Amino acid sequence: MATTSTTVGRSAAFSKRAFLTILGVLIGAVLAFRLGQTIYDQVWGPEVWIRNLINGLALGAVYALIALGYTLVYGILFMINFAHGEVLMLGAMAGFFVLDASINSGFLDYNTLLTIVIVFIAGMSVAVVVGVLLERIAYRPLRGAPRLVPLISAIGASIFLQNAALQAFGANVKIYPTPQITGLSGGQRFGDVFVANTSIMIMVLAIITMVALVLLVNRSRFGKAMRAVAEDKPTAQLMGIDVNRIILLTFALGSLLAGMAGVMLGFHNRQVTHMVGFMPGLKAFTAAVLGGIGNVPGAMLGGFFLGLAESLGPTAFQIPSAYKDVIAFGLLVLILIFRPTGLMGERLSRERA
Amino acid sequence: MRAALLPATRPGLVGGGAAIAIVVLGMVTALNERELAGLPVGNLLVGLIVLAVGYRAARDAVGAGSRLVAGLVAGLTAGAFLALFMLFTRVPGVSEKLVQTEPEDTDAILFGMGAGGAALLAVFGAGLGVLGGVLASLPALPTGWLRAVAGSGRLRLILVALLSLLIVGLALAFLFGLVVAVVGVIVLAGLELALLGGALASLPPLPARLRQVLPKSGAGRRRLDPVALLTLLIMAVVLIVVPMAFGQYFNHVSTTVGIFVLMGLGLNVVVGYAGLLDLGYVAFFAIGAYAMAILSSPEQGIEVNFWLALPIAMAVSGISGTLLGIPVLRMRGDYLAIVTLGFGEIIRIFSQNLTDLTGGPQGVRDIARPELAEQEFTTLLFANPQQFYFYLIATGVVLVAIISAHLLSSRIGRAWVAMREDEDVARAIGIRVVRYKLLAFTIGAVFAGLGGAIFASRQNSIFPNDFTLIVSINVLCLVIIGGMGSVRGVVVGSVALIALPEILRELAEFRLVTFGALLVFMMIVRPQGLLPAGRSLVSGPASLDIAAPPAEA
Repeated sequence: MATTSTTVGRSAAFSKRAFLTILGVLIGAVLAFRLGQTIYDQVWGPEVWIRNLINGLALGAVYALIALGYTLVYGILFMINFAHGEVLMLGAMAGFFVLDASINSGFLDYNTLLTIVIVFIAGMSVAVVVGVLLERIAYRPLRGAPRLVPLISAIGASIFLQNAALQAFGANVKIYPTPQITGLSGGQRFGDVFVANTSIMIMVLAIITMVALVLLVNRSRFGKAMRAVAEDKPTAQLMGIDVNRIILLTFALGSLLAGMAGVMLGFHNRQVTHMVGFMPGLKAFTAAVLGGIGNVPGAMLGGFFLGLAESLGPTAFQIPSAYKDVIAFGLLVLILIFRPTGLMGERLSRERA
Repeated sequence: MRAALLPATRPGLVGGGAAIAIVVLGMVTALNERELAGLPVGNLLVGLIVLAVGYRAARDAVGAGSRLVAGLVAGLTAGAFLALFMLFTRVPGVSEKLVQTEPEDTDAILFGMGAGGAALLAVFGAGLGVLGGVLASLPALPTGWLRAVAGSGRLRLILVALLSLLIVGLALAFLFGLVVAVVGVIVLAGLELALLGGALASLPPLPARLRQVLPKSGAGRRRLDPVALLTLLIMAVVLIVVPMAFGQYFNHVSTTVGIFVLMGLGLNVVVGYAGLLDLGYVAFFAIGAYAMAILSSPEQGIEVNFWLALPIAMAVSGISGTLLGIPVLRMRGDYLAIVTLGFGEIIRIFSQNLTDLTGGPQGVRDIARPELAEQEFTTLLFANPQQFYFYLIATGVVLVAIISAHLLSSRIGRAWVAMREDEDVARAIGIRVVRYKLLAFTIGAVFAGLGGAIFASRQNSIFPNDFTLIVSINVLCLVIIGGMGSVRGVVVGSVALIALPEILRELAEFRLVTFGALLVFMMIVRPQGLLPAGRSLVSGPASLDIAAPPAEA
């Protein structure tokens, strides 16, 4: 398990455990120092820190869900599914239309929880359909082509989907009517800290989903087949696994998570446009790479890491939040310098069952 | 015969989906404004799709009877699918969500008869499908003659090229008017010259050709290929004379293409030669542009002459390329891609927020134009100030093309290619990977910096929004569409990607949708690009060992 990679130049890299320890201690020390300093200097009180911590966790949970989609596909096909953000956007759109219809028909008034469930199911199913179609139309004919070819195809698909959504549904901002939904509108107050209900929903739902996903990958027959395909496709085929079916299901799974994330973002940000998939997609891709692309726990770790960095970075260093992306990408570069294959390093296929 | 039924539903569903897509995207509504032989073009297109579906399904079937049945089933499926969707759009509240589609058009597709029309549409689809089946059952067209013409003799090749120009010109003139037709014919002629010129003279790829044309140390002069020379001469004359007749608009388009060629040639060094996937290439373009802007605009109080600012901008850009190269030396493939992408975003964020230096979202204004001896060059020689930029950029493109073609055939280029094919092996045989990676980044950045500096001067004012990720993606796409690693490919790719969308403004809002779909289509049918380089271009371990999937059942 230890060092499976025999890449030249790898020798200088830190071992995973040592690196994670050093990184954790370093970041912890800096944060603790700045926490003490800002509170002592009365720049901002602890409630600002806690609020941003929770925001970061919620954001990170969404990033993690999207990053899982990138990482699953990458682990199995070694391709960057550039259109993943657009899958998310279409999921969010579908959720919006269902929600809109349920409000207009008065269904929401009778059954709030059921409506929310239906909105999620609608968003996820549309995302799955789009993801599966993408795989069939834009990616499957390109298996075995040089690596840049599917990437360009994915970019093309992304441009197509984004502009198709613009054409079909218009450029106007679609308002998610979160305030009209009793369970989701308000928030909880813990002392000085106010936490939006949507943040709580995101965190709870995301964590349940991620636990289920880890179980699925590590324990189920499908997960085993998926890991086998990621490890060695011809051999997996010889062992009687339908490789094409597993790849299609992997896309479906990743898209399902993207659809869920899309609806979550819709509820949380209260709006969707044809552009909403782009930035979260980019960030989640960064998170997946940060964690070590192709690695399931890595994507989750990377997602939370990035969410927290974006939210706590500006707080800690008293800089305008316009620079939060600079912090995120700067950390990415810094970490990749020391661990060129990301925090967790190995791929999906290298995991132990 | 029964065996033909189920497979035929698949093309039916695909075609129905395509028909629904063009309705939802509003293409039918937009195209219905035009009429062809008394029929609205949009509806005609829907019919054509169903016809094609029937044809496609029938082609896979064996035997005349099952061909017709397959066509029928496919057409029926497509028609029914479309009809169901059209009925769905009539649910109250749905059609308002589809902003581009007029209710009259959806009504028209259902023959203005609602549910009865839906049934009629399915039957109509079935009829069209049968027609497609009949077409498929006809004896195959003798397409052999086409290949025979294309395969033999230069004369016939030229004939085909001229014929295509004539047809395209007439078609464009008929559809869009004379101006578009002239522009389109010129663009197509350029493309054909690039594509067929090689075949005509049976020219080897550019580096080899240059080796023939340029005197080589020691080896003595090689025989000059007269046809190659003639081609070059004609191209030179065209480049010099034709722009004099350009109007403002065409000048703008052609200089934009030129700037993208400069960037494409630079990225071609990084991605095509050295195999380093750079998704943040716009950063160097931005750095070159902002260096030019800050140095020459009166806003910063430096106000350097254009000709002095140009090399400085290139140098600054090159240095930033080296600086980016150092931390990413050990990263590979997709890790490199995301880090460079992040670098591009960081530069853009800085340009947006460092208000003192870059003016923030307001940008930098009054960037210097090229002057000579206190005289505005542009007013001295050219009727139109934009024209000077054309010659400036054309000169830059020719120089950069020669340099990069030379680089590829030099020791450096061979080291890059070796690195691209297998970094570990390259290192093992003594190539200093670190040095050559940095060199690739630096040279790529210098070329982009040149493009950026000229861009800034041409625009006169620049804004952070000129330097988004989309630019990087566009440049990467044009390099790959043109054919990675090939200089001619970059030129053809730029024309295809930058000029055609400009000219196709008629398609207006459908431009990007079409562009995205074409990109996917292109990767499926011709992944190696329009004019691929001669050498093998497997960058990194080819995406996996799985064999191509078995043919669709």
